[in-house]
Amino acid sequence: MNVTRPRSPASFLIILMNVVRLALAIVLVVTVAIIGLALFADIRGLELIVVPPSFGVSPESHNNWTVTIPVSVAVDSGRIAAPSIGIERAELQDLRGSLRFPIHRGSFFILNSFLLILGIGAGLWLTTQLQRVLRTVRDGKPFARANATRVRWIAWVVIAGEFVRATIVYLENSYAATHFTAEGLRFTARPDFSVVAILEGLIILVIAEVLRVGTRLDEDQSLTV
Amino acid sequence: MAIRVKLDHVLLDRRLTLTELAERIGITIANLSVLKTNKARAIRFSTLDALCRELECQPSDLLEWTAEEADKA
Repeated sequence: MNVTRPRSPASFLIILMNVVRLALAIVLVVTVAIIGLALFADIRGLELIVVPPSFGVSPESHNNWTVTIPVSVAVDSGRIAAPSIGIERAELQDLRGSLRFPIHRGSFFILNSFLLILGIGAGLWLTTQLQRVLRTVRDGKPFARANATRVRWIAWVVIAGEFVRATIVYLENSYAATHFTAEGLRFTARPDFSVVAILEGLIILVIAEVLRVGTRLDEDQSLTV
Repeated sequence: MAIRVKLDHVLLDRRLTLTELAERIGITIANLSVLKTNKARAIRFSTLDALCRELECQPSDLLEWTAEEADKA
């Protein structure tokens, strides 16, 4: 039974999810192909970007491979002030950015490649789960046990994903702090943990629990004679 | 479920089929089948009233509580 109209939000979201899934699948295939080529062939003119949580591979003209990692820096700047509003001293804090540098094929490259594929794969899995939930909404049967399980898994992946992302950022920061030097600034290592992402995961977890109870009520209702 | 529906026994006594009963009380065969096979989670008073009226019986003739199944639940 199809209870949604062709222009309903569920139908629109299904189309949107299809587009996102297709794009992610293409990106995954292209990424694996490029990394494979990079490992086994001498190709030039490509760039591997690893900036959690946004991963991507983009072609760009360079003489060799480069990798971009997230960095945290402390600036040894001179005096910062705002005399017009009466502030004589201010400090720059929590400066974050990306550092791009040439890279050779080695363990660091392989690790970043693995993280890149893992990130795209997680996105693909997430959109697949959302698409399956949306299909049940379209069919008029959203209160299914499978949906409650799917939404619960999405919540745990969002929560765990944030811990993984923070850890990756910390490790990339540490790599930069250990190996790189710059005039006027120092590379530091901070995990960049987002409480908001954890809260989002908890909200999804609550919705999953509501869905689970709703599923039970729906079963009771359907088996009431 | 600890409560068992004895609809099949009562139907046998009255020499009635599920289809005939469904037509008389205005409930679908599918729903009566759910009741008869003890898959129902709940029964409305209106359904019980219609069953008792048509089968000329008491609710206790249709329902029984069994300890073994209650223990399993």
